[in-house]
Amino acid sequence: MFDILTKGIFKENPLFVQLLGVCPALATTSSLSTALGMGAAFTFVIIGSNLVVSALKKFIPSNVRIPCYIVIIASLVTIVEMVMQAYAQELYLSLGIFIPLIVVNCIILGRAEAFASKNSLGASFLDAVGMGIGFTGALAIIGAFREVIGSGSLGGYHLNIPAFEPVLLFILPAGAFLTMGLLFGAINYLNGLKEAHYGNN
Amino acid sequence: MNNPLFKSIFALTFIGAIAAGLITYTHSLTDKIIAVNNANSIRSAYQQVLSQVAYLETMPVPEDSIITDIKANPVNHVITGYIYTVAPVGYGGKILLMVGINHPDSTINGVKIISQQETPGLGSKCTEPDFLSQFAGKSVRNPLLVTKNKATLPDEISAITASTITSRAVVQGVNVARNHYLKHYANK
Amino acid sequence: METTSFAILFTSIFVANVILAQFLGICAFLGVSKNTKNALGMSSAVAFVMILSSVISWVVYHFFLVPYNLEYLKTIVFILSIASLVQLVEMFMKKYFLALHQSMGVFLPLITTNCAILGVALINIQKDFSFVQSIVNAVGTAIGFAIALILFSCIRERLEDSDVPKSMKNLPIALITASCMSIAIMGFTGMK
Repeated sequence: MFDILTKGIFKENPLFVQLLGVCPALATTSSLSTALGMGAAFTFVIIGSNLVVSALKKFIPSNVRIPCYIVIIASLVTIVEMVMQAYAQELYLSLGIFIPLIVVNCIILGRAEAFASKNSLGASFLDAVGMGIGFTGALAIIGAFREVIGSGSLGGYHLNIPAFEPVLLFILPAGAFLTMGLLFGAINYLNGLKEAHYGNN
Repeated sequence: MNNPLFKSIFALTFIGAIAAGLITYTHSLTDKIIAVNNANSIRSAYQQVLSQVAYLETMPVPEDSIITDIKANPVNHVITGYIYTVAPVGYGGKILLMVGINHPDSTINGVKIISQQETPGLGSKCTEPDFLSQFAGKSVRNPLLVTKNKATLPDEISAITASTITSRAVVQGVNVARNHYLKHYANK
Repeated sequence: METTSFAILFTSIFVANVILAQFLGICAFLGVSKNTKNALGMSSAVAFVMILSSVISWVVYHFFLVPYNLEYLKTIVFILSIASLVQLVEMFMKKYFLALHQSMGVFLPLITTNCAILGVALINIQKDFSFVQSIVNAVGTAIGFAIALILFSCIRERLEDSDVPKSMKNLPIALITASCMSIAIMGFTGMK
C-alpha cells in the first residue's frame, strides 16, 4: 500500500524517470514560488481526476474512455483556473497559459488510463498523491536552483551571498533547458555510480 | 438498453452535463470575487499613483493612441490630478501602466505598472520602486529621456540594466500621457 | 494600434518561438527529434492540425461562447474540438490519402496531447487576435516549430557520433543543445 505512494516520488517520478510533463517543468520554474504553485495546481487536478476516473470505471464504456477522461480533466482544470484567479490572482497571472495547459499534461491522462481505470478509489488516491508530490518536488528542485543561481534569491527573499553575481541566463528560457540538461546528466551519473557499486559487490 | 453505441453516447453526455454543471457552479461562486479583486486592484493602483483619490471622473479618450483610459480627480469640485492608463509595447508585449499627474502644478506624482510580460529578472524589474520612483516629482513640461548611464539631468530616467527596450516603452507611455495632459488640461 | 500581420508572423516564428522561448510542444521536440525524417513528418502533422484547430477554436469561441457569456468554458471546449479534429483527420486520411497517412499518421494521435496546439488556440484568444491574425499566428508558430525541430534533429543526428561523456548521452546533451539554440534565438528579441 505504502509502495503505491512512494513509487511516484522516487522509482516512477513523472518528470525525472518517466520524462513526462517537461513543458511546465521548463516554463514555470523560473522561481521557487511559481514552481510550487504549478505543482499545487497539478496535484489537485491529478487527485481529482484519479478519484473520478476510478469511481466511474464501471460506468465509462471502454470505446469512449479517452474523451471521457479528457472531459473530466478539462473540467477540473477549469475549476482550478477559476479558483486560482479568485483567491491567488498573482500566482494566476504568473503561471498564465500554463494553467489551462495542465489539460494536455500527459502524466494526468496517463495515470487515468494506466492506473485509476483499473484500481480502487483508495489506491488511485495514493497513486495521485505520490505523483503529485513527485512532480511538485521535481519542479521545486529546478525552481529553487534557477532562482538561486539566476536571481540570487529564494522564495522571493534576497540571499546575500558574498561575491556572487546572479547569472541571469538561468531564469531565461535557455537557462531552463540548461538546468534540465545538467540535472538529467547528474541523475544518470548517480545511477551509473550506483550500478557500478552494486556490480562490484 | 444494452446497445453499446447508446451506452457510449449516454456516458459521454452524462459526464459532459455533470462537468458543465460543476464548472458553471464554480464560475458563479468565483465570478464575483474575481470582479471584486479586479476592481480593488485598480482602485489601489489609483491610490498609489495619485494622493487624495476621491470620486474619479472618466474623461474622453483620444482615438489612435496608446492611452486606454483617463480619469480626473476632483476634490471639492477642484481637479487635483489626472490618472492616465497607457499601454505601450515593450519587449514581451503590451505593458499596461498608470501615470498620475498632479494638477495644476504639472508634476508626475507616481507611475505604476499594472501588467507586463517582460523577461523575468530583466525587463520585469520595471515594476520595482528602484526604477519607478525616478518618475515621481518630474515636471511634465519637457519630454523624459532614457539614459543607459546614471541619470544626471532633471529630465533623464536611467534605464533598467540590460532592459533598454522595456525602459523606453515605459518612458514612452509616460511621455504620451504627459503630452496629452499638456495639450488638453495643463492650462485649465 | 493594430499589429501588422508581418509582425505577428515574425514574432511567432523567431522572437517567441514556440519551443525555444515559450516551451510548448517540448515532448514532441525531445521525442521525435532523433532523426530528420521523423522530425519532418511530425512538423507537417503539427502544422496541419495547428492551423485547422486555430480556425475552429476561433470560430467556436467567437460564435458560440462569446454570445452566451460562456468564455470560461474555453479550455474544455477547445481541447474537445482539437481531440475530435485529430480523430476526424486521421480517419479521413486513412480512407483517402493512404500514402500521406503512412508518413504522417503515426504522429497524429500524439498531437492531441501536444500543448503547442492548445497553446496557440489559447494565445489567439488571449491576445485578442482577429480571424486573419489567428491564422497568421498559427502559420508562424507552425513554421517556428518546424524550424526548431528540424534543426534540432540535424544536430542530434551528429551528436550520435560524437564523443559525449557517458552520463550526458542522449537527453542531457540534447537539452543543453536546446539551451544553445534558445540563446541563439534570443538574438531576435526586440526585433519587431
